[in-house]
Amino acid sequence: MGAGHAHPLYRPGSSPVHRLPAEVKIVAALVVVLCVVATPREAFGVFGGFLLVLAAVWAAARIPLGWIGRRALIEAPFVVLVVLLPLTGEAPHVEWFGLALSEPGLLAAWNILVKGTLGVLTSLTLAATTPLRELLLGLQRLHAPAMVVTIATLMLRYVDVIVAEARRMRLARISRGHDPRFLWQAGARPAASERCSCGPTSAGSGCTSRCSRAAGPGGCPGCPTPAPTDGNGSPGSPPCPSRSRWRPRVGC
Amino acid sequence: MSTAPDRTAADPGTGTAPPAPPPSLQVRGLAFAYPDGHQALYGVDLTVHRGERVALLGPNGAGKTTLVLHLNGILTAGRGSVAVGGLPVEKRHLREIRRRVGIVFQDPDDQLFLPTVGEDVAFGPANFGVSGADLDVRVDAALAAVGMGEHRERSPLHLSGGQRRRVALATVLACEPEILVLDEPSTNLDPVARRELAEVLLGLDPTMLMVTHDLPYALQLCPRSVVIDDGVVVADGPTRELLADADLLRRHRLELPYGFHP
Repeated sequence: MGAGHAHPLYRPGSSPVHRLPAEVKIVAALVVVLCVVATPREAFGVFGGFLLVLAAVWAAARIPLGWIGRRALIEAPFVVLVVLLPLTGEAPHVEWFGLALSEPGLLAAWNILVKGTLGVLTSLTLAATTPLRELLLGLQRLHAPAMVVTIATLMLRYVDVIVAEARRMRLARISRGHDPRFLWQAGARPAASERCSCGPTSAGSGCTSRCSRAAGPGGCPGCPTPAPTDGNGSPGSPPCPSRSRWRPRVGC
Repeated sequence: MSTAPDRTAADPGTGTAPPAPPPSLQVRGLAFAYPDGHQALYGVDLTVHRGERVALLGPNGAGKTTLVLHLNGILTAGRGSVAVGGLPVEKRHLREIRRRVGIVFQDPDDQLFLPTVGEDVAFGPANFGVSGADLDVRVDAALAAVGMGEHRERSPLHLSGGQRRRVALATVLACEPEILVLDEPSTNLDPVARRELAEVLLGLDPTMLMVTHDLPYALQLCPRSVVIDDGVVVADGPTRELLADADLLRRHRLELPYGFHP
């Protein structure tokens, strides 16, 4: 199984599913997705049947449920808004823990959720058992338009390049104190963190980090003096002992 | 092989506080394996005292980058410990640790992403809580220190490779780090830009750890060198002595440029 090197969606193996020609798996996955989409949303049992088929494939290919479950979470951002449908849909409504949920809204949400999830699981199953290169060869053998295959090839080649570059840029940003979690960041942003007067500390041990979390406008807990809340520091507060060590000899 | 527990003799004597200051960097028994099982570090010991300039030499895959990523807590030790200026690298100290450890990455384009040089330099200190006039002073001082003061309003995209490298250095200097960590600072620089960067680095005061393959550059900038290979420190001593040891260099896939004799 050639060039499927260490791709996060591929799980190497030698099961019958892995050994099937890629074009067979591509067509099978496409057919399953079309069937899922064409199934009426009220046919709850049929969706259970689809899941059983997929589970049988996972068992044959020896893919653990947790492995595929974690990767299926990629769907979450796309379906998160379906929770709004039961709340905003029209009558008739059903009562549920004091909430009036719209019946058509519930059905619409179910429809999106179940079809989306089964589609993602099917695609993941295909990706987990077929190396990238085989997928492209399979598309060629199916006489997919040459342009489509070329675009897919370039995409698969450059997605890794772009992900690696994004990762390096992220490392460089967080190394300079960037903290992209906005909710947690709220308490850590005030300028107080740098020049706080946390009392005597040896070589600044823990000084800024303690205060950066706790210092809101009210100052540090346990600080005798309120922490400054602007960038200039409070006039009388000594800077951390570890501060101001660096002085350029040139230009200052 | 010495791991140099006490190298105060090599310290040019910048520590003026009455009690001996903690070393700028203390790495003890650091071991680390990546999630895929690849063991990159097998117990690294390294102490860098305040004011020292140390080169970290080693072939590709020796574990240099892995070690650097431990210094500011991007990777966390499987075993052993790292302390920066006496402060252990732990989750609760990460913010202060990242201010104290200024890493200049190999590719300046990873580090520069804002519309102007000034904004890029201000990004770090602003994240660490500096604002207003203080921030302006920091940005001006850092850009002046690397000789890029007049380019503050320009886009990093319009600078030469050497200028970008110096701006990337300024983005880290503006955070006033305790220790400056440079990852392959001389790669992709023409000889003039290389010399200009060396002059800037020699003009700076902070403790410095320079990761490099460029042995003449290490000799020029760092009185002390540490050789790392297969995840352990294999040599630690004066740079000139290490570079004169042809056998050591050969064993660890290090090579001096043609015609260069230290």
